[in-house]
Amino acid sequence: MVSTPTVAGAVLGLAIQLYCNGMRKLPLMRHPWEHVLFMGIGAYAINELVAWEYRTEAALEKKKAELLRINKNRPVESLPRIF
Amino acid sequence: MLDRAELLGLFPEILLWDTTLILLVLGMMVARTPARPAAPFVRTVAWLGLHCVLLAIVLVGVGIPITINSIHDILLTDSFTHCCDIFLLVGTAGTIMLIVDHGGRDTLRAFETIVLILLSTSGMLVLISASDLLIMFIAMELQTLCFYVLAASKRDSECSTEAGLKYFLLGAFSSGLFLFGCSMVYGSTGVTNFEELGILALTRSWGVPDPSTGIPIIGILCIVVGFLFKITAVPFHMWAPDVYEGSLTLVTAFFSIAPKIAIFANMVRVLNHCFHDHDWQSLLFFASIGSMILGTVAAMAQQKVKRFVVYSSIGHVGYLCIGFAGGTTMEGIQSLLIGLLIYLFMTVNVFGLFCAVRPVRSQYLGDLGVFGKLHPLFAITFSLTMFSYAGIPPLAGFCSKFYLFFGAIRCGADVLAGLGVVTSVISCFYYLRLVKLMYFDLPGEYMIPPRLDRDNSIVLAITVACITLMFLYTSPLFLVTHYMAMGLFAESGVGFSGSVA
Repeated sequence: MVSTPTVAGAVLGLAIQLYCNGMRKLPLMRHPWEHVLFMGIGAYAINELVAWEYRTEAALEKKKAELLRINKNRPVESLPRIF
Repeated sequence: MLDRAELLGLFPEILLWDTTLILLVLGMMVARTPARPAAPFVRTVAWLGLHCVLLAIVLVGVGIPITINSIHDILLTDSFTHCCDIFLLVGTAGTIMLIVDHGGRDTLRAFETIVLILLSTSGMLVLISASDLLIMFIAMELQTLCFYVLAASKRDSECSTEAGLKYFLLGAFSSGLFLFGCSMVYGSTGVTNFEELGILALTRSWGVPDPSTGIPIIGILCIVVGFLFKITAVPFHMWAPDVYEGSLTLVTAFFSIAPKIAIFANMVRVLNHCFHDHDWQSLLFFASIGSMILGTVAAMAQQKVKRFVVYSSIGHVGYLCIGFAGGTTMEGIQSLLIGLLIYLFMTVNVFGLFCAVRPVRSQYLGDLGVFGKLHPLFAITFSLTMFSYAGIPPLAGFCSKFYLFFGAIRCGADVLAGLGVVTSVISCFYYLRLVKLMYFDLPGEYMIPPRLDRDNSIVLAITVACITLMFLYTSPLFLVTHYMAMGLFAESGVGFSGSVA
């Protein structure tokens, strides 16, 4: 079963290649292997983006909890004195 | 002596410096051979420069965004600088991709343009990481000195020479003012490090007896004025229209994209880390109002493409300054970063379009009329970008303005949000006028639209995809900006309160 990000990425890659050919006033399906290449790159990029999103969400939650803890226990006297 | 982590954090800067030196030596050796034509060599240098920037993106991207204080605490690397570095390098790579094909044309003959772009980018990377007033000034000067030469790089053009000279004189004045502010801050506090300045500001704002005289307001204001000059905010924008118009289109593209990212990133760092008392807030408030109004009103009267883009850019700087409306709050910073990232994509796109039509006569807005009839896809792309600039949903520009105004309202700056909405509505007039010009007006003369090169079309495709899809799939944008803002607040030691997301 192909996942949604893979399909979305492949469609995006294909659209980008079609758009490039259209902008360059070339036949839309010129060099079909380039379309396949762009579909592969698109699928990989979107899958990586989704994976990155999960990773960043977890890191954010961790950081948020840490900051709230620091905020809670922050007496004025704890500031380092440099002057 | 640098340890391993510090050295890894500085890899992108070192890579750019090394490449700059190698390309410079290579250029000197090849330029001494009179039989060799210049244009193919410029193209080669542009390709090498582009690959160097892409490699730098990879180096930054694979690195773990941990907090490192490098070289006696004068440079700071954290998640905020990590993401800003990537934004900056993406912007630079986008600009160089537009340049690559121009290497073979008459407009860009000197390989030094690429070398200077790389050198100024390395300066901007240092500026983003700067954690000390002195290194900040040095990095800013490294960037600006390259810009003076870049502005005057069209050697046989009077306009370009005038642009370079004007930029140099006014830039030197602003640098002097900036340095004066830094010296005042140092003179009264005895420190230049951001962290130490931040602790001093905190002790003052919390009512702890202050052993020194505190940070002088005039020093802070001089520093902020220096920043406002560099980002072309009103009333320090006077140099921008002439300089941008006189420079090469590709150099104008670089000026409009890269320095804004670096200066805004550094500005956020300085104002958030050092000066929490918000003495500077009213100055940025009025600069934001002035930029929005002037950008909107002046752009209406423009007939030339570059001047139109410059005034539009001034207006967008006004919108971005709204992010500082509530001081340095999480909402404000996050909306500023969202706006900056979307501005980056829209500006790369619009300059990609202008660079594509550069070989034909396209100096005036009226010349664009021909593209609606002869190149429909070009006209659709241009219309989408203009709709996005105007802030019409469902495009990225709407997302940017919405969160900036939303952040301002959350911070209590209702006036700014209201004025922003009014100026946005007025700006729709001149953005949509361009769409009307292309589709409904007859061009003065017909010409064959040029065929785009491959690199330019890829840049356009990616930026159009971002402009159209960012509104539909906003979570990566929110996550990255939230991550950056949180990294910034974690490092500043001032705590945080809430978030937009």
